[in-house]
Amino acid sequence: MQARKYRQARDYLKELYKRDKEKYLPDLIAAHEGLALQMINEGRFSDAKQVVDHLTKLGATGKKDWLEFIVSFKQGDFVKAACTALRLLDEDDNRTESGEKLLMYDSLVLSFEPLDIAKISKQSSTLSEANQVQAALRLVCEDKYEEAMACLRAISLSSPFSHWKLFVKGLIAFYKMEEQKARKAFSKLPDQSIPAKAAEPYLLLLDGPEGLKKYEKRADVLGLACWVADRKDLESVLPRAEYLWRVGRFRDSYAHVRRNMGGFPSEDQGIIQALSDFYLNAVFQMKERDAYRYIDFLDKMVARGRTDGIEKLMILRTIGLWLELTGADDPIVLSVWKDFLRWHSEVYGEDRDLQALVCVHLGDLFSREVPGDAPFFPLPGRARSRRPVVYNERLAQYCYESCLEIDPTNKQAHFSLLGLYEKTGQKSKINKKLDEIIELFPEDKNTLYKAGLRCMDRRAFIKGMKYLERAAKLDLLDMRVREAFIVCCIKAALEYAKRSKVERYRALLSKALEYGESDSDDFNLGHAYLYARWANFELLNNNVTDAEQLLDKASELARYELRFLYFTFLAGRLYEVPSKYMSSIEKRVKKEFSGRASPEKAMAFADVISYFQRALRTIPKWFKEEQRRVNRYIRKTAKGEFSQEQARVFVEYALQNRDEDLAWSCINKALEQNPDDPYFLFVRFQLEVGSFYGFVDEEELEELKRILSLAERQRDQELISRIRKTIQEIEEMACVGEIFDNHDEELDEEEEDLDEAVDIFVENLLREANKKRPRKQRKKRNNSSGATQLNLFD
Amino acid sequence: MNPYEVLGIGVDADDVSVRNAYLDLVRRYPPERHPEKFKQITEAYARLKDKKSRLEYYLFNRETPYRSPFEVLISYFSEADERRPPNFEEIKEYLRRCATQ
Repeated sequence: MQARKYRQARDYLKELYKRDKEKYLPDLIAAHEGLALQMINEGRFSDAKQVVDHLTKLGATGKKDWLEFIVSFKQGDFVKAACTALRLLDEDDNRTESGEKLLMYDSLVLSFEPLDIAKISKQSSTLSEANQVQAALRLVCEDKYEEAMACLRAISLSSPFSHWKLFVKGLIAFYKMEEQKARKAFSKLPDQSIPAKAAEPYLLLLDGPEGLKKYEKRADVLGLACWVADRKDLESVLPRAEYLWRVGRFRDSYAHVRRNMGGFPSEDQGIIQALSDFYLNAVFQMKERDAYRYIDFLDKMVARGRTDGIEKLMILRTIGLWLELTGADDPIVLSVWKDFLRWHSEVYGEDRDLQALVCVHLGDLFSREVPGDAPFFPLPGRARSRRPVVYNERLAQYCYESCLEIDPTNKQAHFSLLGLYEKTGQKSKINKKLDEIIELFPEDKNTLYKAGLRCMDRRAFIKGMKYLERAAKLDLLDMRVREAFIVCCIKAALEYAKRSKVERYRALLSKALEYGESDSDDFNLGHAYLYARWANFELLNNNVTDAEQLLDKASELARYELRFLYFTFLAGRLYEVPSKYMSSIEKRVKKEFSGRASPEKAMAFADVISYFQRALRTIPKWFKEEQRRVNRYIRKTAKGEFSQEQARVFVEYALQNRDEDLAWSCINKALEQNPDDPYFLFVRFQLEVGSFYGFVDEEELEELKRILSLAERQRDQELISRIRKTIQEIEEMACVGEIFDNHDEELDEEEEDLDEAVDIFVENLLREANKKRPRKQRKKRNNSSGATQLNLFD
Repeated sequence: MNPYEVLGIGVDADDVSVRNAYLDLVRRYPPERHPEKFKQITEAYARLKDKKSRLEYYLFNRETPYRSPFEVLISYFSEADERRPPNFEEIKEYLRRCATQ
């Protein structure tokens, strides 16, 4: 007995009991009780019941009743358990432990039926409270939450059913979508009580994925949560699927669900569809090795003919998308998608829109730009090709053309094919395609706009104007199109002005004025600047009086005199106006540059010269000297006082001109005035970090996020989007880093040593390159923005 | 969550029903009172607003907001507009199961 070997003890005591009943009966009863308890703890309730029956035959009392209760309770015979509990509660002489008592009260609720013993029991008030709990539960099930609460009012805090009251309150809050209230009520329930157990699945659903972390190993709770979520059909499937997924047995999890869940996978609406989506898209979140195995498993199912209908379709789609990501051979990617389209037609019938979309998608995939075959160590002075390298031009063209065979008016395919010709520099095909597109979509603004720009590139200005004017008329609010039209007019007018075709250029400039804006300060759209150009064209043709009249008109419209003066001067020089007409304006400009430097003037000079820098394709020698003059002026200004707004213009100008010293001096001064100015903090960050974001550490990233919050407070939308883009690029670089980290784990030590040496070498190289990189990036950005601004002077 | 579920429409919904569902939901969940829900609705609408978008979603969506199968159930449950309690027999059975487990 002391060694808790109750079965052996019982057998010995049985023998002893036969010899001396009176003496050995208590020990025999104790051995039976110990054995029964042991069996209950082991979950052997029917064996325990037999032992309890023996105890009854031996005439045992006391603990026997408790054992009888617990066996009935655990076997689910709650009526019998409740009757025994009532008897025990009637006889209670305070020997029963509180935990045991709690279970007895729980059994009274769980009986849910009238008890014969109730009439003679001393526990009438207890029974009445149990009935109130049952009634409240019934009312909850009937959506009568107020009445249910009323039922519970009689149950006090000290009542043995107070935890049931709390549970019912939690249920009511749960079904009324009062989640906080429900969570609060459920989490207060005493541990090990039946309501606490019953509340666990509710808490799991309330706490979402966080709750799942707590209960992920409890299959019983997961099963009951399916029940609570009204998805009893998933109870036998989802807990096991979850377990298999959690332990990394992804393929087994899929197979388990596939085997046990009717209708899986599905493309229809509902939870089965969501599960199907999950199982077929999860591969894109897996580590490379797991993803490969998972795809292999799916692929084998298809190859062995184990799938059909929707499943095959969904798997083919997943494999296609996965192959694209992993850089599989192009013909393989193409063949998977072809299989998909074939199978889709079989399942759903022909869908030309879907087929066209897949073709365009593949065309885009194959026409993506990739880095050219530059040497690892580029030789100094060796020019790289400016044209992007297209990944697989032949297949891209094939896909786009296939799409156009399916749907000859597919706008996206036409434009993508046009884009491909542009990328590969096939000028005759570009022009042909543009004409074809305009014929197909004569009222498409973007097509006309693109065609207009193409014509400008080809110096076919009149044709370009025709397209751009049509585009502008379709949407007069689109400033981009209007600006392009005006630029086209100016370019054509310049050609005529140089050939002295006065009426022609005048007509064109009048047209440009129609689409310009009288009160705008924009160098292309503003009437003041259009008149200034016109005046220069008149001077080119020696029409001095007309030029003077136009300049007077322009001067009246210009809001910033110096800006206008300097623009007119530079434009005159670029249009090659005879020097005899330029001397007077040149003197005025010279005068403005002399004397004490003022930030206002510096801003005007920076503004004008930046515009010309963007607009010029090739920079003449004299213009470089002009740039140096402006640089000198701004540097002089930067030594004095200036506002934050002026500092911002100077910094932009300095960055554009790769003058980091000037940029730093303005940034430092601006940050002295306002240390939390997000613009200057961001520019400082960019100068410090450079554009190679792989070296940005967490602290720097946090600082960048702080700058973003400052910009958000100021609602500086342009700056906000610039910072967000930078953060995104840094985070993407961090992801790439993680991929490399994962690979590192797989390398053996020798490879790691070698890798480390290469890493240090490459890191040093990149750091060196990094010092110069921001300049390059800025130059590129400015050039690209200049493309729409136009190359007006070449 | 699947944008069809967010908008409460079937996979065969056309442009008009997608738009109607979107407008209904936007009226029910204005951005000033339900910013998160509004964002979710707007994103779902952007993905399904026309046939091309719907096809693109069907063909090329690689995302899943879930990390494990059970999260699908949890998400479905938490996104539901209302919860209906079980009937009395079911809750009896549920509580008894909790007691015997």
